[in-house]
Amino acid sequence: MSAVLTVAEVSRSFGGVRALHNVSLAVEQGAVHCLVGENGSGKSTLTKIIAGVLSADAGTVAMAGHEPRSGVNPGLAIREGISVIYQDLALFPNLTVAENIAPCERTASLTPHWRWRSSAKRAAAAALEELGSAISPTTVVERLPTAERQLVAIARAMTRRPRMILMDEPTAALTHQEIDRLLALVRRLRDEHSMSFMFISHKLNEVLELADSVTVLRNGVVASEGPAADYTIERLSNDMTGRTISSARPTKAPTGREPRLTVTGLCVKGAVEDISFEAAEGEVIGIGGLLGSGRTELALSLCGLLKSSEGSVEIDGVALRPGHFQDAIKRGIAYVPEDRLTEGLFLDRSIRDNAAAAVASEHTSRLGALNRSALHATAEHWLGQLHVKTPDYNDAVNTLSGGNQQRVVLSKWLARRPRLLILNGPTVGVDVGSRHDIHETIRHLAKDGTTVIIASDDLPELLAVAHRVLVLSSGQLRHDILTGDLTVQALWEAISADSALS
Amino acid sequence: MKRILGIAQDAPSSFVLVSIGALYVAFIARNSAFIELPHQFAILRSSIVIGIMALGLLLVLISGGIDVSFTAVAVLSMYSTVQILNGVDYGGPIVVAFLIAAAIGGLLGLLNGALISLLRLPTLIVTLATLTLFRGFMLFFIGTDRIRELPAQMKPFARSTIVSVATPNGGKASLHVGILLLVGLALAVAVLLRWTPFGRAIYAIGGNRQAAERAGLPIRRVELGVYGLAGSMAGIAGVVDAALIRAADPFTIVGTELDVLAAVVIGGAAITGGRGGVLGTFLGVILIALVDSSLVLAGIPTEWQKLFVGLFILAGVMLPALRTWSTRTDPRTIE
Ligand SMILES: Nc1ncnc2c1ncn2[C@@H]1O[C@H](COP(=O)(O)OP(=O)(O)OP(=O)(O)O)[C@@H](O)[C@H]1O
Ligand SMILES: [Mg+2]
Repeated sequence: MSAVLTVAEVSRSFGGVRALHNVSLAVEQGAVHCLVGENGSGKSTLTKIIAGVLSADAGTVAMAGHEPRSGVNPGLAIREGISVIYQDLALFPNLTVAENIAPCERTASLTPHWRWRSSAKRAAAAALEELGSAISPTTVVERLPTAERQLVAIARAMTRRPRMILMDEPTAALTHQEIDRLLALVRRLRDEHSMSFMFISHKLNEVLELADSVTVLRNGVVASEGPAADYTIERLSNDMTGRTISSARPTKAPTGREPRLTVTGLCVKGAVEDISFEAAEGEVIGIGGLLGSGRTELALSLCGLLKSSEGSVEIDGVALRPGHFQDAIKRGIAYVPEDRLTEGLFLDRSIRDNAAAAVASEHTSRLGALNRSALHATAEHWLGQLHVKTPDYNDAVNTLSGGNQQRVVLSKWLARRPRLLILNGPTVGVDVGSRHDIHETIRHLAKDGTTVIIASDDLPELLAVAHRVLVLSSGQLRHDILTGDLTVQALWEAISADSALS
Repeated sequence: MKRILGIAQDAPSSFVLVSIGALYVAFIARNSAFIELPHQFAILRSSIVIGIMALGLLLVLISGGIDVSFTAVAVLSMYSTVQILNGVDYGGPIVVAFLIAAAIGGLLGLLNGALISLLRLPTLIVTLATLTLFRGFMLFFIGTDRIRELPAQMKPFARSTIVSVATPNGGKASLHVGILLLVGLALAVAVLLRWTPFGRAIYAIGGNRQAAERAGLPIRRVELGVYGLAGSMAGIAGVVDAALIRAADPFTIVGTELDVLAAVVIGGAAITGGRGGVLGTFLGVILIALVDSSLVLAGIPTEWQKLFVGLFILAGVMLPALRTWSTRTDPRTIE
């Protein structure tokens, strides 16, 4: 076999931060090469250097049959047959799905193409169909939810049938079904078309399922590499973090405590029907279910971001005003959204300011003066707790790696010390080590009396932190399972059982 | 028709249409002379010059930039063209005047584009600087006199009409031929924006510049093209203006920047880029021309004119924002 892509001793720094140091790797023709590493270990930076979007300070990148290069020239990389799914997607929000997937042309020619619209529509529909998605090609991308934008970005990379596709966390926002379809498609393109892939993911089981070979990055250097057969999940996470990560279980469920949250007969039009449950002080409740099961809608209606049509949500015995987020915040509820990139971060403001954003009012005196040092201390405490990796909290949030941005969102809400914390996919795009840390933080919060509701796609995550899991299907509460010694398999069966029938 | 002029990018068109309709009703109620042909033709006539400049500015706004120098470009191109043609005692067809002005304007626009690419400064800053620069160059080196003797063929152009209708009181109402030029240019820009790779690249760059870079789009070339075209449009508008007022006046047009900008923004182009279309711009221009030329007839003091334009801009800008705000129903895009 021959290498289609060769990365030779690439280094790159940002200011004083060394993002990559002497990284070399080779991707074989017709193979899937997985790149794993903690948040901030340099995966996206390497992707961008290969794509010609960033320059390398030293070292070169070469596609088979082309000159080695190290400069900025994305057009050249595309012509060499490289397609990229960027972590931040890099879609055009103002254009339609069809045009994002099959643009009019990548030149600036003045000759009209009278029929490009219909041919783009056809190409886009075909590409989306391969992914099993029913997104309408004429929708404008800014109207799509995150998962569908992700699918559009994937379809765009696939439709060009390039020699090689770089995929930077393509599955972060997707559901199980969508992931399965994507992985099957990658395998098919690899086997039938001998296409090559560089695949980045924090979901290690996915990595082992798909990879032919693996490179593990740690702090910008190659920690280990080899054929996938040499790796297990344990070895991957050890190599990534340099420490042993054990799978933990939640601490004992609290008993005999007062209910903190009481939900009675909650309905949201078209999404959730007649849901009732209680959550005690210090209890962690998971919400599981497939996409469209009403999982996200339930979480949103609990914190007033979605207006419920019937039923009530009570905190410590007092009912919340439905559809009133400000009221929910005042009563001690915090909600951490699943999409950190479009929600909840001021990308060009400093990390510290972002983390402090939700607690500024608490540190303001009656006369309106801000106690800056106390505010910063609070922000830094939580940034430290969540191990946000940066040389300086004054740097802008957009200089952080994707996973570290997610931690800033978490710090922001944890700093409020909420009574009820609602998390939606809290570890999407977060590496195993930090995932472990975030779970640990959740357990701690619960032990100190915070009630936590966690909606997640990630079943091991639910089992690791939740005392109980509510399983939703078609907007109805189907099961209320104590996690005790529940297995992932059993939970998966409970979640997928009803949807198989419908 | 909708398809041709690109209504997809023209979401706020309905707002402009409603405003135009409301103004008509209000004006007719105050003064029935308003609806008579002479006045209607006058509105169209006064929309020609701002309309042509608005088309150029539309391209710039969609690409995510802004240009305030186009009025200076228009006057400088027009004035130099007239001097050149007078200098050689030119008597041929007027097309040549348009071509020369478009070429001069295009060069000045390219200068804008090059400065923007090279300096990587905000486009507002660069074009503010070139506005003053072009203006100063014009007044200092080229001239400050109003030239009354236009090249021979510009006079017949000034008198050419498409239709001429006798009015009941014995006068004549004529629609100036320049409106055909505006419509022709509008169609050309609509085709450019909707069907050429160049046009689509303008939308892409305005929508997400970083993504456009990553997609390998020739951003610099597109930007040069956009500012060059805006300059050419301004040059053509300058010559039309000279023909309409039958003189090359160094002090014409300058000062209408905000009217033109208002027309384009009311027509649905976003200052932040990526949005806007020809139909919306066209309607925006009509609305501005309507306000500009009708308030007097309706017996409303001219001082109010600016206030009206300001109110329309405010409403036109707020409306799409309100709309996106209220249609965000998908829970995953809330907040
Ligand atoms: N534009 C930038 N300016 C400054 N620092 C940057 C910039 N881009 C990346 N970095 C830094 O480079 C390092 C590597 O970042 P990179 O995005 O490659 O990480 P990653 O492995 O993709 O992480 P994640 O899994 O969180 O996406 C980080 O420390 C990050 O803060
Ligand atoms: Mg990354």
